[in-house]
Amino acid sequence: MNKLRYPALAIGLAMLLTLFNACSKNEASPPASTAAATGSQTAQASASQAANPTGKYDPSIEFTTVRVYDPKQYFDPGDDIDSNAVYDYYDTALGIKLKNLWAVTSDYDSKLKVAIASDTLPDFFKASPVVLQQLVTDDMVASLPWDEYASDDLKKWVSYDGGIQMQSATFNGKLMAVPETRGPYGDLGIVYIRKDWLREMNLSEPQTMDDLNNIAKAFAQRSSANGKVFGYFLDKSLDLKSFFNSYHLYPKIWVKDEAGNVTYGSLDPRMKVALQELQDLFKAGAIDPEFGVKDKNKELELVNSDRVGIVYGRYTDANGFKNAVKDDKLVQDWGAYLLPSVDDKPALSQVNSSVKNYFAVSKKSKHPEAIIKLANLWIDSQLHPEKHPIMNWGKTEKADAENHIFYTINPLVIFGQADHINMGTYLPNADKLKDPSLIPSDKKGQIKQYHNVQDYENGIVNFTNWLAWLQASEHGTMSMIKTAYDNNLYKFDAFFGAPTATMGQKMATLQAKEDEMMTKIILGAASVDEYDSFIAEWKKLGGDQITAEVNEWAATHQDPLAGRTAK
Amino acid sequence: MFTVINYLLLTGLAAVCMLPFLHVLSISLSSAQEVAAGRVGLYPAKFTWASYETVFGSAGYMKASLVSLERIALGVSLNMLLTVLLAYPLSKESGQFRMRTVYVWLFILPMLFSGGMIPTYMIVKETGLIDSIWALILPNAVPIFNVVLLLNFFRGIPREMEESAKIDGANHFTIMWRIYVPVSMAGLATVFLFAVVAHWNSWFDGMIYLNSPKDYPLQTYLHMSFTVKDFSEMTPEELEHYFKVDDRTGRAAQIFVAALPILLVYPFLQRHFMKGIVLGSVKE
Amino acid sequence: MDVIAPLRREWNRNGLLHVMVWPALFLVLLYHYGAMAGLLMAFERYVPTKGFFNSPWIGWDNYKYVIALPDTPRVIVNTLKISTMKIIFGLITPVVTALLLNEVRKMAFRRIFQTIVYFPHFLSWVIISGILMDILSPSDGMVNRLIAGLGGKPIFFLGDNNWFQFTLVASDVWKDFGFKTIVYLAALTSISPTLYEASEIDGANRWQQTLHITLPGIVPIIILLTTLSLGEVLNAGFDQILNLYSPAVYKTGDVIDTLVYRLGLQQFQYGVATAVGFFKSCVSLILIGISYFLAYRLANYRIF
Repeated sequence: MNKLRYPALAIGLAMLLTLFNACSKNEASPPASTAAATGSQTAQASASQAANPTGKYDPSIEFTTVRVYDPKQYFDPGDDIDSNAVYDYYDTALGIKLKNLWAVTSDYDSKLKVAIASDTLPDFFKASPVVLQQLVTDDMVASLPWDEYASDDLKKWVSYDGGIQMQSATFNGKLMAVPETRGPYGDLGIVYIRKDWLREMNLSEPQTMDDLNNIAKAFAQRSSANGKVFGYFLDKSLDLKSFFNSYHLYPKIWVKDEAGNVTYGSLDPRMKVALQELQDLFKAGAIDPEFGVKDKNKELELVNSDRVGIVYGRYTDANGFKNAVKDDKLVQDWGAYLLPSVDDKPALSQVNSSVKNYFAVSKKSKHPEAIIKLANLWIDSQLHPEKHPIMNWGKTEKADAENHIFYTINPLVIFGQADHINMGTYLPNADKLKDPSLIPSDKKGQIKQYHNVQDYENGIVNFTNWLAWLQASEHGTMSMIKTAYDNNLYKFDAFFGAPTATMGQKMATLQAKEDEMMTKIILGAASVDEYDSFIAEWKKLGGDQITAEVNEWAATHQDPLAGRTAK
Repeated sequence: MFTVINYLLLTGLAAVCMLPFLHVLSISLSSAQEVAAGRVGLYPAKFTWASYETVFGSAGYMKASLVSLERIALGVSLNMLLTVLLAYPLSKESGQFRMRTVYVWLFILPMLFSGGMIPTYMIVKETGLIDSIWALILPNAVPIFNVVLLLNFFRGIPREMEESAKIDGANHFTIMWRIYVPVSMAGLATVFLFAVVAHWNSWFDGMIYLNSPKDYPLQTYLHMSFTVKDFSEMTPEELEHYFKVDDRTGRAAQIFVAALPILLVYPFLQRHFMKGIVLGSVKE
Repeated sequence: MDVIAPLRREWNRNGLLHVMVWPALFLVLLYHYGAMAGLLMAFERYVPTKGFFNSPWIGWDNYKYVIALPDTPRVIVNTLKISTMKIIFGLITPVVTALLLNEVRKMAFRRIFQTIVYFPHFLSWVIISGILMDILSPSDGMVNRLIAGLGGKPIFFLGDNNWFQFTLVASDVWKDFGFKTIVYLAALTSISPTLYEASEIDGANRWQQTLHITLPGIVPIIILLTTLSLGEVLNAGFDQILNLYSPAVYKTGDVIDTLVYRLGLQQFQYGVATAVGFFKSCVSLILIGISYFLAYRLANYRIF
C-alpha cells in the first residue's frame, strides 16, 4: 500500500509540470531577438534581391500560408490543394515553395482567429479589414517593401482608382498588406423587372421612380395559383440601398457635402420621404409581409415561383433567378434597367471602394518581400497569360473542354480595378459586331460567354446561355456598367478605411437600432416621424463620436472621387 | 378510453417529429430548381439522387467515415471506461468516502467554466495532439453529464448487494464490474448512446484541431463539402460552374447521411432501456 | 507527523476508490483547468504575442463596456425569460411523455415512438428555421391554416414580438424532448416492479400508482436534470436564435449571446466574449450551488 504513495505523488507532480509547461509556453520568446534575426535576414535577403524584384530565390525558400477554397474546386488528376501543378510552378518561376499549414472550405475566420490568438500564423494569409486592423495594432504583421519590389505593372494595376485601395492597407505611412484589389464598378445597382408581366399588363418600362412604384403596386394586383403576388423583393437584410439611391439618398454609407463635412447617409432627413413611400407600398400589398423574418434564399423562393416581379441587385444577382428557364424554355423574361430617379437628376449607385480582404505577412516571416513577388507573378500571368499558362489552366496549360477554373488555386489573387469596365466594353461590342476577336484571346471564360450569348440568340435556350445573354449581350448588364462609368453614375462611400475605435465599439448597436427602426416603419408599426427620434438616438449613442472620428480620418485621406478618371 | 386518448396524443406527437424529417428527406431528393421555388413539401419534387451522388461519390467520404468509426471506437470506449470508473466511487456516500463531494465539484466546475476555444486549442497543441485523432478524444474524454447520470443510477442499487460481496472478500473493482455494471444496463445504455451521438455529431473540433482534410471525421468532412456561398460575390466564370448544385439539397442530404447510422443503431439499444433491475438474486 | 497517519488510514480504506478517480481527474485538470487560464482574457487586453500572463491588465473595463451598452438590460431580461420558460417546459414535456409512454402496453409502439421522437435532435437549426418559416407563415403556413379553420386570426409567430419567445420555447422543446424522454424512461424502468405489485394488492388504480410510485421514483432524476439545466439559464440558445431572429423581433428575441456575436463582427477582440462567458459561468455556479445546498439540507439528497 505504501508503494502506491510514490506513484501518486509522481502523477501529481507530472500533472503540475504539464500545467506549468502549457502556461509558460504562452509567453513568446523575447521579441527583441526575433526582430533582430528577422531584420538581419531580411537585410541579407533584400541585399541579394534588391537588384532583381522578380528574381528567383536560390536556394528555394519555403513560404507558408493557409487557404480557404471552394469544395468543388477542380484539380488536375492526382492533385489537391496541398500539392498541385500551380504550387509547383511558383517554385519553378520564383524559387518559392508554397506550403499550406492548413486549408479549409468553410469557417476560415474561426480557424484564423485561433491561429492568431495562439500566435501560430503562417508566413502570409488572407485577412479581413477588421482582422488586419487588430493585427496591425498588436504588431503581428510586417510592413512590406513595396517601392523596391513591386513591378511597374503591379504598381499600375493597383492605381487605377487613384491609390484608394492601397491607402486602406497603409498604416502610419507604411504598407502593411497587399489589398485584394477589385473593381467597385461591378457593384452598380440594377433593377430587374419581369418584362413579360409588363407586356401582359400593358405597362411601359419605368422612366421615373414614380413609374417603378406604380409598377410595383400593379404587380401586387396580379393573381397567381401559387399565392399572393408582390412587387418589390425584400428580405430581412433590408438591402434597399438601390431603392433609396433613386431618391438620391445614401443610407449606411458616409457622404461628403460641399463644405467638405462627412456625415452618415442614413441621417438625411429626406429619408422620411422614401420611407413613407415604402410604408405605403407595404400597405398596398406590394411587399411581402413576412420579409422581416426571411433570409435571401427563403425570399428568393417567391421570385422562383412567380410571386415577385421587381428585384434589386448587381449584375451577378441574376444567378438567383433559378427558375427563369425551365425545360429549355424561357418562362421568366427579366429585363435589367438602370436605377430610375425621382427627378431629373440621374440616380447614382452607392458603392464602396474598399476591399474585402487583404494579404498580410506575419511579423515573424523571414521573407516579407516574397509576397510582393507573388503579386508580381500573378499580375504578369493576367497581363500575359501565355507566359504562365499553368497558373490559369493547370497542367494541360490550356483551357479544357469544360473550361475548369484553375486561377483560384493560386494563393494570392487580386482583381483588376477596371475589370468590369473592360468587360463592359468588349463583350457588348463583340456581340454587337458579332466579332469574338474583339475579346482578348486569353480570356477564355469570356469568349465562352460570348458563344453562349450567340447560342441564346440563335434559339438554344438554357440557364447558362440566358444568363450570359442577360449579362454580356449588346445591351446587357455589363454594357450598363460601362454606361454608368462613362456617365459617372456612382456615389462612392467617403469612408473606406478600417473601422475607427468608436465604430468598432458602437456600430453594431447603432446598426441594430437602424434595422429595427426601418423594419418597424415599413411594417407600419411606427410612423415615419419616429425616424427623427432614431436620428437623435443615433447621435447620442455614439454616432456623433463616430462622425467626428470619420471626419478626422477623412482629413488625411484622399477623396475617393479624385482619382476617378477612365483608364 | 384513456388508452385511446393516450395513443392519439402520442401518435400526434410522433407525427410532429416525423413530418419535418420527411420534409428534409424530400428536399434532399428533389431537384435544386424545385427546392429554390419552395415547391417541396412532404414528398420530393422532380426526384433526383444528385445530392447523394455528390456525397457518396466523393473520394473523401469513405475515408472520413472510417475516421469517424475509429474515433467512435476509441472515444466511446474511453468515455465508457472513465464514466464507470468515476460514477462508482462518486456514488458512494460521504460517510464512506469523504473526498467524494470534493471530487464531484472538481468535475462539475469545468462544466460551468471554460476558458474557451482558444486556450483549449493551445493546450491541445502543447500536448502534441494537433493533427492526431486523439485531439478528438482526449479533451472530452470525461463526459461529466453522463457521469452524473450514471452515478445516480448506481445510487439506486441496494447496499445489500455490495455488502454481501464485501463479505465474500471482493474489492471495489470486483464489485463494480461484477455487480454494479450488470444491473445498470438501462443507465449504461443511456450514457453509451449519448457518448456515441456526441462523437458522431461533433464536427467543429475536427475542423479546429486537424489541418489536413485527409484526417477529418465524417461530420467535419460533410460540413466542409456543403458551404453556403454568396453567389453575388462570384465572377461570371465561377458562377457558370458552381451554381448547379443547390446548397440546400446538399445540406439536406448531409443531414441524412449523418443521422441515419445513429437512427439505425438506436432501436437495437432500446432493449436495454426497457430492462429493469434484476432484483432479489443476492446470490453471489 | 499527524498528517501522514490519517492519509494512510484513508488510503487503506478507500485507496482503490481514489485511484479510480485519478485518470479522469488528470484529463480534466489538463484539458479543462489548464484552459481556464484563458479566462484571464476577460480582464486584460489580450495580445497573442504576449500570452495570457503578460497582456496588459484592464480589470473590469470589458464589463463596464458591456453594461454601458444601451441594449444590455433588454437582452438580459430576454435571456432570463426565454431560458426560464425553456427549463420549465423542457422539464414538463419529456416527463409527461415518458409517463404516457409508460402506459402503453404494445412494445412495438413504444420502440417506434422512441425512435421517432429522437429525430428532431439531429436537425440543425439552419434547416429547422427554413421549415419553421414555411409552416408558421401567416399567409399560407400549415399552423395558421389550422387556426383559421378553428376561427382564429393568423398569428405571425416569427415576426410578432408577442409570440416570438413562445415560438423559441416551443421549437426548442420540440427539438430536444425526445432525448430527455430517453433518460426519464430509463429511470422509470429502474423502479422496482414489486412496488407496483404491492400497490395493486392494496387496490390502487393506475392514476394513484403514477402519483405515488412512478413520480416519486423519478423525482431524483428530475431534480438532477433541472439543476443541471439551471446552469444553462443564461444560455438562451444562441444557435437557434441566430437562425430565427431578425430586426423585427430584436425587442424580445435579442439575447446576451446574439448581442456579443454582433459586437464580434465589428471588432476582432477576445475580451468581451470571454468576460460575458465568465459572468454567465459565475451565475450558473451560484444557481447550481444553491440548488445543491437546498436539496441537501431540506431533503438530505445530494444531487450529484
